[in-house]
Amino acid sequence: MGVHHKKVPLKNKYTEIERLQKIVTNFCQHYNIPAEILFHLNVVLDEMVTNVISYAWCDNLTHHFNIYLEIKNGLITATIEDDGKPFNPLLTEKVDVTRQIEERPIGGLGIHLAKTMMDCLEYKYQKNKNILTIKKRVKK
Amino acid sequence: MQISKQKEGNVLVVKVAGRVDAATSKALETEMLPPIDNGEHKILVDCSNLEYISSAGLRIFLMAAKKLKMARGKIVLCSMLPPIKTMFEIAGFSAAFPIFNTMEEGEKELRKK
Repeated sequence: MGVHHKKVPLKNKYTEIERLQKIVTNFCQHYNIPAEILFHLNVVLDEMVTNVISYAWCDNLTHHFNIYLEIKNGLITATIEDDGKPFNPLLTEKVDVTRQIEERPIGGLGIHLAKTMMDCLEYKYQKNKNILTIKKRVKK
Repeated sequence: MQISKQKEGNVLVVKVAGRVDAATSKALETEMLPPIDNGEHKILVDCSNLEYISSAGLRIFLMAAKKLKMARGKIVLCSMLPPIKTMFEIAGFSAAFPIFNTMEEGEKELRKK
């Protein structure tokens, strides 16, 4: 199957999300990733990138960050690296989907989707960078 | 994203099309929430051309459902594509949002006492 890589540079603008998803779609379709896996990957990338754009920088300046995609041995790995303030999205409070609608908090949904749709999420802060890695196994 | 609204009897029909993500969710909020505050308590959402929704969009639906619960109103969603339905299911919204295959079924649900 081989190893395939792609780097996607992004700016901190919400309109980048759709552009990213088009790039990810082209990349994954080229390597025959099933539509359902691609859909989950695109949703979770959106959620994680939206977090970065919303919270990583407090000024109104343009910032750049990168996503690294890898397909290897039936595993898709996406790594999001930004130089914004340290923030571990995995430490947010767990969403209880069984709660009544009036008691449901407005926040926390993005990370809930990510945890549900991905096989693995890892966070580390290294060399002044937030490094979030998401992994999804391609069904055989 | 495109939104259009139309009144049919005491039901507000909202058609949401295209992508609802962080880039567009504010527009959905502006279109959908104020009418609820202004007395629209039966809302029928046509999702047949809704192509994509992220948590930014789901959050607006949650806010609408909360407002309608307080007002003893109701929101009903219709004609969803399977991936969109998956998003509502994973979010745990299925109980709060009745989802129907057709607009006719959704309208019938809203007309119930």
